[in-house]
Amino acid sequence: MRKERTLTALLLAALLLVLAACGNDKEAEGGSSSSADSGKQENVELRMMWWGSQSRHDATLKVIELFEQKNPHVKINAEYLGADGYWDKLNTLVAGGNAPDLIQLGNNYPDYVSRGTLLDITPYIGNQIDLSGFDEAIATSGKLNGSQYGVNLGSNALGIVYNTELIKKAGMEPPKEGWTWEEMEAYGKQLVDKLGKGYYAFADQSAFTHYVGNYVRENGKSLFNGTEIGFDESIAKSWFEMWDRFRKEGIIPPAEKAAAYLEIAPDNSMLVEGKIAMSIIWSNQFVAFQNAMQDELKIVPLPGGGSQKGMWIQPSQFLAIGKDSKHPEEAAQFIDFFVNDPEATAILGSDRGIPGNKSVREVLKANADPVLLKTYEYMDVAVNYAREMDQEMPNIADWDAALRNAAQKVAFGKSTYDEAAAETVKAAQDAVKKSQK
Amino acid sequence: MNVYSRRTAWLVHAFILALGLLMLYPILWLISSSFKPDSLIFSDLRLWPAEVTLDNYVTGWSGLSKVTFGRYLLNSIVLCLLTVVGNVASCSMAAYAFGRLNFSLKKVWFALMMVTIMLPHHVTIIPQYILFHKLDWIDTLGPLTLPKLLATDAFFIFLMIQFIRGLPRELDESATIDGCGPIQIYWRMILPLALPALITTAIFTFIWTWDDFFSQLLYLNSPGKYTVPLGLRLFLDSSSQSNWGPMLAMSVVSLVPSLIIFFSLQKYFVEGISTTGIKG
Amino acid sequence: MNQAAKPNRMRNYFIGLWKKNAVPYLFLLPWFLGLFVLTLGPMISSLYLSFTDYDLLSPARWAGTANYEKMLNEDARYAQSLKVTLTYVFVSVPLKLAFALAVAMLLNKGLRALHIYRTLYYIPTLLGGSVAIAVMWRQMFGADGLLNGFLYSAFGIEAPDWVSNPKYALYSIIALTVWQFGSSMIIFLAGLKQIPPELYEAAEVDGAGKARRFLSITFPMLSPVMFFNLVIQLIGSFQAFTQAFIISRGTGGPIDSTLFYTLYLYQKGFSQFEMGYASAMAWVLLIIIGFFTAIVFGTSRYWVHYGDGGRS
Repeated sequence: MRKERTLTALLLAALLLVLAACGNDKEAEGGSSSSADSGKQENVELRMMWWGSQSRHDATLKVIELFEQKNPHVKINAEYLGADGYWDKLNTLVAGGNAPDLIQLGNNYPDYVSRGTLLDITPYIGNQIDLSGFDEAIATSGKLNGSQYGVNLGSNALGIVYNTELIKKAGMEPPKEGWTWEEMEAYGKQLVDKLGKGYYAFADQSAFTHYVGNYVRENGKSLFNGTEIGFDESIAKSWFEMWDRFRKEGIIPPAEKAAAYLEIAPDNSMLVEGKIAMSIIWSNQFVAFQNAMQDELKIVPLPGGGSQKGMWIQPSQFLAIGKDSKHPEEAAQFIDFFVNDPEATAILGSDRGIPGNKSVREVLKANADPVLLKTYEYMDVAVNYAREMDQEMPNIADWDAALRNAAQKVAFGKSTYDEAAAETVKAAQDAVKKSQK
Repeated sequence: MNVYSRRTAWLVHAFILALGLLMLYPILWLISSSFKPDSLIFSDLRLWPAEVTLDNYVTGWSGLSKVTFGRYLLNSIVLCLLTVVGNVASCSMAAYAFGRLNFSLKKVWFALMMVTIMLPHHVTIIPQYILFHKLDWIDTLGPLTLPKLLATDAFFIFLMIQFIRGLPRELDESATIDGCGPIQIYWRMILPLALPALITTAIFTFIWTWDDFFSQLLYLNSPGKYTVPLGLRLFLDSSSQSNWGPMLAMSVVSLVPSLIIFFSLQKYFVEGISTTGIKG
Repeated sequence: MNQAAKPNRMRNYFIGLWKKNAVPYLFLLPWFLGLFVLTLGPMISSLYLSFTDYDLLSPARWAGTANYEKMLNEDARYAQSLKVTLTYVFVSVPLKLAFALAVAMLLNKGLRALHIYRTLYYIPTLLGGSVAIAVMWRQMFGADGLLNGFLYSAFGIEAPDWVSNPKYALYSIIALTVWQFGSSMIIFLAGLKQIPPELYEAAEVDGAGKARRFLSITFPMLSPVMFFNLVIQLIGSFQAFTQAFIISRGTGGPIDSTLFYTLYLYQKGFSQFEMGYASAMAWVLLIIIGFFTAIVFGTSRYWVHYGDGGRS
């Protein structure tokens, strides 16, 4: 009896050991294989991380393969995922000391610069990385405090997309570029009158951070001027006032309806459902919105009419190098290949926005399908309404949450314009202050 | 066990069905959307598709240049089976000790076990990642399966404790008189009698692992090792293009294994104790 | 003589200790390994981090009790998240358990095609955090949703948008939670299966009515499982995250009306780079959950009956 018990115990213990060892046997695989191979060229292994959907993954993988063919000593391990969880994973990897060599970032890259995650790539510019084919503004868009931290992969501009079928149904002319806020409001009123109950002219985008940015810029101000916030409560107040007027006029949906839709992606959009005629989007989302609906979409610039041009060309994505990368030179080479090589850029297309390299842009535009062509044509128009961009507000996620709250409080009649304006300004100040600690 | 009379049975059926339809609605939406072209999924929300297409299934299944969706399914199945075995074995052992045996510091350990499920996991993610990184286990199944073998899902320990404590103690006593030690009692009596709890554990472990996006996202880096939750998200990118159709189509496909597991295991609830019997 | 007996007594004591503990601790061995190697370390480091200023990407800096002070004194959103979560816990837990138990008892009878119904009822749970849920919820409870369509055509009532009105949004998430009752139902079903049918047969022979059978057989026999479901639902609801995340797209809106505790914790830790603060939030939540769980454990002696005769 006792013997049997001991035996079972021993067996259990042995089983555990075996199982624990099982988990271990893949350890060797993870190790770096960067041992020198006799000659001068060391074998190099890089890790690259990006987010995207199917077509982007396919294209990026092909480009990696192409680069590996041309540089047989470099191997690039791709770690790609959807947009969900990308930042969580990236943050965890960085916190865990396991950051990839090549990192795709969005316009939030200053948050990573200020926390010391990215390598200063200034030394590689003009050497491994050639940005001479880029427009000046695009080439320097990865610069912060005099150092370059990333290379722009694509640019964007805000635009108003409109559903041509709804406008036809209302028997109206499509909106024209160069319109003012007043014209836009009048247009909206007429549109809802003709379309009748259940339809709205615009989405409620009073909580869209960069739309606010456009508005304050038209009035000669900025969200962030590089050291502190560049707008005040009075302008924030007039913003909330204006949207509330739109709401009362019925040209945007009532608070309840609007709150059910974030209107930032096609799966959660009244524009796509055909209930509203116009909405602000980033130009690189145009194809996605168009593919999600049958009515034809077109795009025009944002309303103007202030003392200055409000719009700007927004660098939307960057490729950067992790600070602890062991092979920054090869990584820099890859970045150059990614943005300049004719073959590579042809494969990548315009999926990450309009490329910065002028000759690449021309080739892609010539080969664009009709939907994509509209994006290219729009960018040419948008440039005329744009001026130099301001530096992105640090910790913009903090401000984004606060702005949404303030805007919704106004919408639901839970706060006055003054309160909402004060809240918005305070939140922006806090976000900036946090980055300067 | 009492059985309904025929008339009440009909009424009960009708009621269950009506309620069931409410349960079914999202899955019907999912299935119907998976046959719609992208341009109709969110613009025409009606259940009956105006246009039917199989494209979503074809593109979804073909996956990305090197890896098909079948690979993700296979990876997920392997992972889920490992976690099921790990959880059932290790949690039932711990539960037997807590539920039936006497030992020093029992209350302290039990309390500590409960505390481990009270801390939101978001704040232990990073320290845990650092730990597995130090062990050099990133991009292996280790971080996803080893914790299960070591009974870190206290939820299931607690579940089985409650079931084991529900079994009459006289059974153990008579077994002890027959000369069985604790190990035999565990193996020959407790495990068979706690079968409903073991099956519950198996079902939940399978389904929760099948759906668990975040830890698989963190610990798996090579696309060849990706699992279903990661594969589904590869279709989506809210900042530009999303392939909703293929995503929904593969969501439907990925429900099938969970449904099979659930459907085939749940019959043990029906048989449960009555067929396993109390053989003593 | 005394001196000789002492080591002997010591020895006997240790032998006794060994005899009592060897086998139980052997059974607990995997769990101990997991606890000490995998679970406790990360828990303790999160406790340490809660006293630091930690932005994930650069090293943590000691901050004393600053996080805790800010949380309890200054942060209005924190207070809001606590309020939302407490409301959620105290409304959703009883509702969900009652519903799950009722359906489990309904499905535990000798009806035909039961396995199909059981699967049917588990489907909402299977879908978990799928996008289909968010879309469906809007279609059911939105301004132009099925429910309002019914209310309007049947009673002429123009009802609000249940999903996105700040007054009702939390309750629509509670409804969603109750609707995903599958897991609790399964546990109840498994528990019901463990009750020997002979007990009911004997009671029926004794002429016991339905209510009586429930009170004297089902309830006591099922009480360990009820206790489990109660404790687990309590802990789980305090940590509720997924439902709020999919319905509000992680915003907790409108106007923070669905800002659950862990949703805010996640926003702080991962999107706003304040992991120190998030860790402090987590430990305060642990204390809150611990408090309520202890109360439930305290009451268990009065209503939970174990087959082993124990009562706690």
